[in-house]
Parts: sequence; structure tokens; C-alpha cells
Amino acid sequence: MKLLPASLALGVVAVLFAGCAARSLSDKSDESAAAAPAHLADRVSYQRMADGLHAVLRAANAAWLEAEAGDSPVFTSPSDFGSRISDLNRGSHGAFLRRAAQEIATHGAEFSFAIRSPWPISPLGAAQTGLEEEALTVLPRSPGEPLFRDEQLGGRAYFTAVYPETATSASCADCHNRNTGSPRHDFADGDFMGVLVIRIPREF
Amino acid sequence: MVSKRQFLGRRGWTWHLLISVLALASTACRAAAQIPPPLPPVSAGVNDRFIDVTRQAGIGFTHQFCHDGIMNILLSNGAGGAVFDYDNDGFVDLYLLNWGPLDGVTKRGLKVAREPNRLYRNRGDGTFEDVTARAGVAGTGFASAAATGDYDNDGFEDLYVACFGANQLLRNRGDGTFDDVTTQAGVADAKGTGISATFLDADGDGSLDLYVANYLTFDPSTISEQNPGAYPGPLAYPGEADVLFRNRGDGTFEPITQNAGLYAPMHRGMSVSAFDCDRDGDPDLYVSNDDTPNGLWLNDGKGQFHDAGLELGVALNSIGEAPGSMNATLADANNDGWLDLFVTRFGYGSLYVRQEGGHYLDEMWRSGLGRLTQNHVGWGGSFIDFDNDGDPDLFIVNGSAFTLGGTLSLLLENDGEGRFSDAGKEGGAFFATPIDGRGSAVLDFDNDGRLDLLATTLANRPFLLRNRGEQGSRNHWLKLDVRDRHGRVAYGALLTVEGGGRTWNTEVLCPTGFLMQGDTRVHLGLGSASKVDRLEIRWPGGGTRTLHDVAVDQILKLREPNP
Repeated sequence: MKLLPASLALGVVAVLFAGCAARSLSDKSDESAAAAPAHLADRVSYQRMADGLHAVLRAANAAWLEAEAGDSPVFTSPSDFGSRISDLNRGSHGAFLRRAAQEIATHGAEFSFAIRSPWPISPLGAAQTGLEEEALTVLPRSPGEPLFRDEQLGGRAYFTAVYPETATSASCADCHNRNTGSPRHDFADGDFMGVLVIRIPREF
Repeated sequence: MVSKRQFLGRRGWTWHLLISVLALASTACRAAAQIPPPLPPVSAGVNDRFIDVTRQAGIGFTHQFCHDGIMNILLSNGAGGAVFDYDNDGFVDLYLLNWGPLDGVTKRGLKVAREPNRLYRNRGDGTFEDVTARAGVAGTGFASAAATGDYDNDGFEDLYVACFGANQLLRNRGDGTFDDVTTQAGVADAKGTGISATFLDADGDGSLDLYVANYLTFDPSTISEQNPGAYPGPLAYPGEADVLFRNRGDGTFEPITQNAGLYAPMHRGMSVSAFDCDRDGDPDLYVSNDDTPNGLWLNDGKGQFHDAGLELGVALNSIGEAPGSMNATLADANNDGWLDLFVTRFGYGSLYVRQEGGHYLDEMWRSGLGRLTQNHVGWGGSFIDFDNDGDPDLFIVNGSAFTLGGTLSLLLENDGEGRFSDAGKEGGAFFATPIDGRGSAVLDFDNDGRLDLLATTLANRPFLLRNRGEQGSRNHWLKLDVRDRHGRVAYGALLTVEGGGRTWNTEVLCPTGFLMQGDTRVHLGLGSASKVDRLEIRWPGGGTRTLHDVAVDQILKLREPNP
């Protein structure tokens, strides 16, 4: 280093500076992270964020089931079924989740979610991407196991998490079995019914 | 120890000085070299349907890009223009927009003059002449998009240019020149980040009103907390309300956005399309937004609007998000008599197919478009029946939102039922040429009945692609130049055409293709139909006209009769 002429060193420094100047931003969080205690987390992984969102949505779904379908949602007669189904269709599980997803998108959330099924009652519940189609085939074979994948849609990169949805109470299977719009009428408690897809974009 | 002087000698010092200077110079050039040079003409193959005639047509335009790369969100969008017949000679002319330096947006300290917008007059022989200076339409400012409409009912199409900053209204004098009447008309909207506009008669009073879409309030000091290597996304900036200007009929306009029910300050408009969604005789509006839900604003016939986008299923895409929507192109994709919408996006696009009952179903995946567009950020998207078989195909220009390096455009063929497949090979060499695509427009510049294409790019030249058809094709066509009683393009006129056992329902539209307005003449590919049995026109002002046994393969001029 002592033998490097100053002008050559200046040229090397200029090249390095130009490389740094090409970056549009400096990461101020690095400065603050350096001062913070080492054990504090300063970022959340995509998978952890997706798992957190999944937990919230499952809790909301459970609350909906309790409030709308009751603890023991057994239909005692066709007329009981008829009136309950018409109530449930207006605020069915699928419609509830879709409405929540719309509301979230309206308020600028930088993630999205949707439910899909191989046996959708509404066309909105059918697979809408290649990955969703794949998940609906793969996940029934691996009960309880989610699928995490990088996905590209319309040139945009996403982290996509797909969680299996099963009939967690008798009302899930019963409601779908009795719905005339359902392509399948033989669901049982614990059966795979579809998936919950959570997407987090990686480009903005 | 050996001294430096002894080590290097005089010649050594010279070489090291030279190397240092070269290193310094290369850093400056490397930055500048991120902007690719203008692309050369694309050599067409023998069987190519579309051929690049830009240079031979005399279009010597390059989009002025005053930075080293896409350094912020405003620099990602590009500039477009309009296709319109400014001199009423029956041949469409081209108006292309430019940027120039803009404080806080383009490179700091750059001392360059703004390059002009350019008006190219169609000579009718396949070539154009630059009449910008003569016409007085060089423009000013950072221009995004243009719309045309005869706002003063004198029979000549006027120009409105949406800019980041003050917009411009250029009144066509009818003698080949234009007059900047922005201030007296009251339509500058100087604080807005104008990115799209359309003319429409919102209140049915016989005068064209003007809707301007505004983007977002940019602040160059904003930085991204999530991805330090990239510029902040749209949600980092406040949205801006769009504006509806009502035409008073005396050459002036008044803003009536709130009174009309259209005020949406949190949205970030990217483009606006006007069409009669419910075929009730008045124009509705579809506004494509960036990272906020799109709006379908239904008109009650008196100029009062409400947003039914969420309710009718056209606000979000099929995976439940509201990503950056560029524009909506309109056509009856599945030939059921109702206009559908294809929306290009940074992210998953949408093909909204209208259903019985008035709501829409997003068939992006079922149509095959999801897979075909998977790896592309779509900007300008335009329906085009490129083979005149009677169903609308699609042309999409693509490009990265972050780097200049080129992406392939798409030509997608419709099977007649709203299912699409890649027709790029038939399209030709252009579709194997990476470009930084932005605006798109459909036109028939040589009036040969085969629809041509115009694409603008970011930091490069446009592409005028002539459709030379397919050898031996026996498909027929009909082009309608529909004017109202004032001689204006009859925006909003509804058309029903029957021939060869088929029926087409369409509309005279102000056709938008992200930053661009296309040829306003209604083109119908008729397939094998050798005549039109019945043609019905429902005029915007009321009244209908029906023609029978109309000859095909012609441009038919239709004018609304006086009352």
C-alpha cells in the first residue's frame, strides 16, 4: 500500500464511490441496529409474518363459527336447515373471508389472502394461479403441512404461503354437504376442504 | 528502501496517471450508459404479420429521459400520446409526448432543454411529416398522457395533455394550428400529478366534459423502509384526487368533482376509461389506480356518480389485492354482447368478464392470460382484432418498473370465447425484441382495414407496427367513423352489427391504452361475413338509426342527423 501512487489510489476510490453512489438509499436502520442490544429482533421473516396472519385468520374464523353457526350446529329439520342456510349464505364462511380480504385491500395492506377449494361453491373460490392449482393437489396428501413458495405473478415477486383448511367442526362439513351449490356432498369432520393462501409481495 | 520515484520512473507515473483518469471517466460513463441507445429498426421475417415501419414512416422521436436510470416512482411510468385526425383528412395523425428535466424528479443539476412533444401529420402514403412547430404543439412540462375531443363543437378535435404539474388544453383552430387555451378554459390543475385524461359528456348536455386522473404527491426526500435498494412504492406517498371538469359550453370549464360524487383523495390514479358499462345511454368511468382499489363509477344519467367497483367485482384482482393497475382496455372478449375489461398491472392482471346481472367475474386464470403474463409487468394493454376474425385479441407492452433492459411484448390470440394463446410467432420479430414498453394504441394509419399498433417506450423510441395481414386471408372488416350532429366523434354511441349469423355489440369509445388514446373509429373484424345485414346506431343524444345490407371492407362515415 505504501508503494501505490496517490493518483492510482484516487482512481480506485472514485470507482468504489461511484458504485456506492449508484445505490439510491442508505439503510439507516443499520445504524440504529448497531446501537441496540444484540438479542433484539429487528426484522420479521416472510414465513413468520405469514404464520402470524394465518393465526389471526384462523382465530377470526373460529369466532365466526361460534357466533354464526353455534357450538353444536346440527340441523334438526329441513326447515331449520333452510332458514339457517339462507342466513349462512348471506354471511357464509367464504363470503366472510372475502369481505374481510376486500376491506384489508381497501385500506392499503401490503399482503392479501384468499380461500380456495377443489370443490368451490362460488367460482371465486376456485384456483386462480398455477401455484394454487398445485397446492390443491399436493396439500391433501400432506395433512397439516403448509406450503411456502416464491411466486411470480404479472412480473411481481411474492412470498406465498398456503395452509390446508380442514373441517374443524361438524358444521363445516354439514353446511357444505347441504348446500345445493356445492360440487360435493360427502364431507366428514376433519376432511380436507381447501386452502388459505396468504401472499406477501416482495416488490413495491 | 526504494523511493517511489526510483520505483516507477517518469514513464511509470504517466501510465498510472492515465489509468486513474480513465477510471474516473469510466464511472461517469457507466452511469450514463445505463440508458440504452435508441433501438434500430426491427428486421421483419418473411411471414411476420407486424413490421416495424417507424423509421421509414418518418417518426424520428425519442423519449427524453433525464436521469441515469429509474431512480424514483415518477420516472417509472413513461409518456404516451394520442392518435387522432387533427386535420380531418381521413388519415389519423400521431401526437407523442415528452418529459424534459423536472426539479426533484430528474437528475439534479442537469442543464438540458426540454425536447418538444411532436405532432406527426399523416400524408396518407404511409409516411408522416413533423408539423410540431407549424401547429404550435411543442408543449411544456413533464407530459404523461393525451386525450382528444371536440370540446367547443367546431368539428375539429382538440388536445388535452396531462402532465406532472400544469396540464394543457390546446384548441384546434381548424387550420392546422392549435391555441393554448388552458388558462382561460380553467383546466390547468397545476398542483396535480396528471397521468391520464378522457373527454366524456358526463351530464348529457351536449358538451364534452373532461376527467383528469391524478397520480400521487411525490416527495423526493421519501425513502423506503422496506427495501433500501429500491425506490419507495406508491403507498409511501399520499394519493391525489382526480378531477371532473364540467364544460360550461362557452369555452370554459368548472371543477365539479365533489358535487358529482367522484371525490377520492386517497386514490393514486394511473388511467381512466369512459364507457357505457350498463348500456343505459350515459358514460360511466373506470379508473385504474396504483395500490388502491380500482373504481367503476356509475353515472345516473345526470352526472352524479357512485363507485360500484367492489360491489361489481372489478376493484381488486382475483387473488384479492389492489396492486398497481396501469389501464383497462375494453372489448367484448367472449362475444356475449357486453363489454369486458382487461387490466394490466404490476402484479396479477385481470380479465373482468361481465356476467348476467351486471357483475363481473375475473377470468384471468381460466382465460389462459394468467399463465401468459406471469413473468411480465404489463403496462399498455389494448384489445385488437389483428386477424379480423371477429373477436378481440390482445396486445400488451411490458417492461420492468425498476431497470431499463427490455422485456418482450405479447400478442395474444382470442379463440372467440375469451381463451387466449400466444401469437407472438405470427406477430413477428418485434415480439422477440426486448423493449421497455409503456404506452400502447391501436390504429389503422394506412386505412387498409388491418389494425396497426403504436407503442411508446421509456427512454427510447416508439414503435409504429404496420399490420400487413396474412396471405390468403378472406376475413372481412368494416370501419365506422361515427360523428354526432356537431361533427364530433360520437363518444357513447352504441352499435349493434349483425352479419354472417353473428352479432357484435360495441360502442364508440375514447380508447385508452395506458398513457395513449387510440384510433377512435370503430373497427369490426367480421370473419367470413361478406355483408352486414343490419347495423343499428343508438346516438348519445337519443334516437336510433338502422341500416341494412351494408357493404363490408370499407370505411363508412355515419353522422347523427340534426333534430
